[in-house]
Amino acid sequence: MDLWRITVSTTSEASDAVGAVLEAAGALGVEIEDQADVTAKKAAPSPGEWIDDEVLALPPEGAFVHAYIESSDDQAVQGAFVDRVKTVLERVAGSGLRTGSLTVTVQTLAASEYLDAWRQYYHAQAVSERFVVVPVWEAGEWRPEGDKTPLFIDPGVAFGTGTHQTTALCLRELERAARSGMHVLDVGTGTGILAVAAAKLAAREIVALDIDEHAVRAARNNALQNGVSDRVQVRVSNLLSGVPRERRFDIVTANLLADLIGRLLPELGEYMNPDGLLIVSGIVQRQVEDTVVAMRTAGFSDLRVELMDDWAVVVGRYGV
Amino acid sequence: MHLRPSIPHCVRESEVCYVAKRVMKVVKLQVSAGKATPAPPIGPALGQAGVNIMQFCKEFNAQTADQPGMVIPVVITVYEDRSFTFELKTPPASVLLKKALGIVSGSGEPNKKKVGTLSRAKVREIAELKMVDLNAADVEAAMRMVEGTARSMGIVVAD
Repeated sequence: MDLWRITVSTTSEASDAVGAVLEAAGALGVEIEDQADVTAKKAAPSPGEWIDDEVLALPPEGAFVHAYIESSDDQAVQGAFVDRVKTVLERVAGSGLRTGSLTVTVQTLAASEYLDAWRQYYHAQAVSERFVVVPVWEAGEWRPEGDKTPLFIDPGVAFGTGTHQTTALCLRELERAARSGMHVLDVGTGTGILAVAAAKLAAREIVALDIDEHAVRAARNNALQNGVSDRVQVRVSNLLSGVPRERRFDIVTANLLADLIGRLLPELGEYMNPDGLLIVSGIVQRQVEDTVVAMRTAGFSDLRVELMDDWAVVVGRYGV
Repeated sequence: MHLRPSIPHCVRESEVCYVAKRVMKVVKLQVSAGKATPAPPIGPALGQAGVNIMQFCKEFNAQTADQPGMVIPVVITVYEDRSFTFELKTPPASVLLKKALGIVSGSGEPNKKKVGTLSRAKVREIAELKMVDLNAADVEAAMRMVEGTARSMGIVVAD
C-alpha cells in the first residue's frame, strides 16, 4: 500500500497529545521520533551501544510525530486530511502544553520504499550445519560452499528469512530428525523455509500451512525456486483446519508463538504417527515451562529444550 | 558506564567485549499487544529504516501476546547493521485517559464537543503511573502533560 506520511514538528512534551489527536483524526498509525527517547538511551546505553550525534540532532523542536494514511490519486483526499490535522492541532495548541511550531509536512511513500528496503541488508548466510540461506536475488552469484545445501528464499512479507534464532533452532532439529521418505507437516510456514529444508532433507511429502495468503504465495514461490514444489503442498489454513483428519505425519514443525502452540497442541496428536516428532518454537524462555506442561498434557514425552539467546525450541515424541 | 570509542568496533565493559553497535534510529510506536503486522505504523516506520518488518512483528507478538487488548508503546532502537532491540513502555496517557472515562475515542472536535470530565486526582494517578516513561522532571510536570493530552482529546479536567 502506498502511503502519505504527514509529519508534525512539535516538542517532546506535546508528542503524546499530538499522536492521540492524529489517531482520532483517522491516521492508520502514528510514529513518534522523540529526542527525549534518544537522550534517555544515551544516558543508559545497552552494552556496546554507540549513539551517533546525527540521531541526537534531530528532530529540531524535540519530536516529529508522523501519521500515515493511504495515498490516493485524488490530491483532494490529502488536502482534506491535512486540513483536519491542522484543525485538531489547533486544539493541542490551546491545551496549555508547550507545543512548538506544529508545522505540517507531507511526503509520499511508495510501498516498495518501506516493504523492500531491508532486502539490501539480507545476504547469503549459513544458518545451520547443513544449510545456507541465499536470497533469491543473489542466487545467480552464489557458489557452492563445501557440503552446504542452499535454501533459496524470497521472503516477500512473510516471516522466515532464516536469520531469526527460532528458524535456526528449528532447522537444526529438522536436520537431526528428517530421514528419506518421511511425511512432514509445517504449521505456520511463513516463507516456507522449514518445508523447503525438509524437502531437501529427502522428506517424501511436506504439507505446509499458513493462515496468511501472502505467506502461502511466498512459500509456494520458494518451493518452486528450490525445485521441490512437487513434494511441498502449501495451503491456506487456520492452524490444522486445512489438514484432512486421516493424515498422519512423522515430523511436525510449528514455529509460531506460545499461545498459538497452546491452541494447536490438544488436537495435534490425531495427526502424528506413533513416535512422531514435534518441533515447536517461537517461544521465549519465560514461556518454556507452560509449553512443556502443555506438550506433556497433549501426549508428548521425551521432551528436550534447546535455547538460543532468549528463544527456545521444544522437541518431543508422541505417544512414547 | 558509557564509552564512545574512537573506532566503533568494540567496546570494553568489565571483562566482556561487545561489538559496538551504532544506533541509526530510535522510534516510538503504539501497537496492540500480540497484533503487530506490517501495516502502518510498523511497516513504514521500521521498513524505511531497513529493518526486517516480520522479524519485529514476531518478536513483539511473542513478548506481548499475554496482554490481550492492551495498546503498548514500544521504543525501537535500530542499529547500523539493521538489527534492532525494543523496549515496552507503560500504556500511552491517551489510552489511560480513555480507559478512566470508559470511552472508545477522543473528541473529533475537542473545543466544541467534550467527551467527559476527569478529576485532578485521577489525572495525578495516571501521571504517577506514566512518570517512569514521560521524560518529566516531577509529578507536577507529568500531570501538566497528562492534562494537556486530556484537553486535546476533549476531556475536561476538574478539581
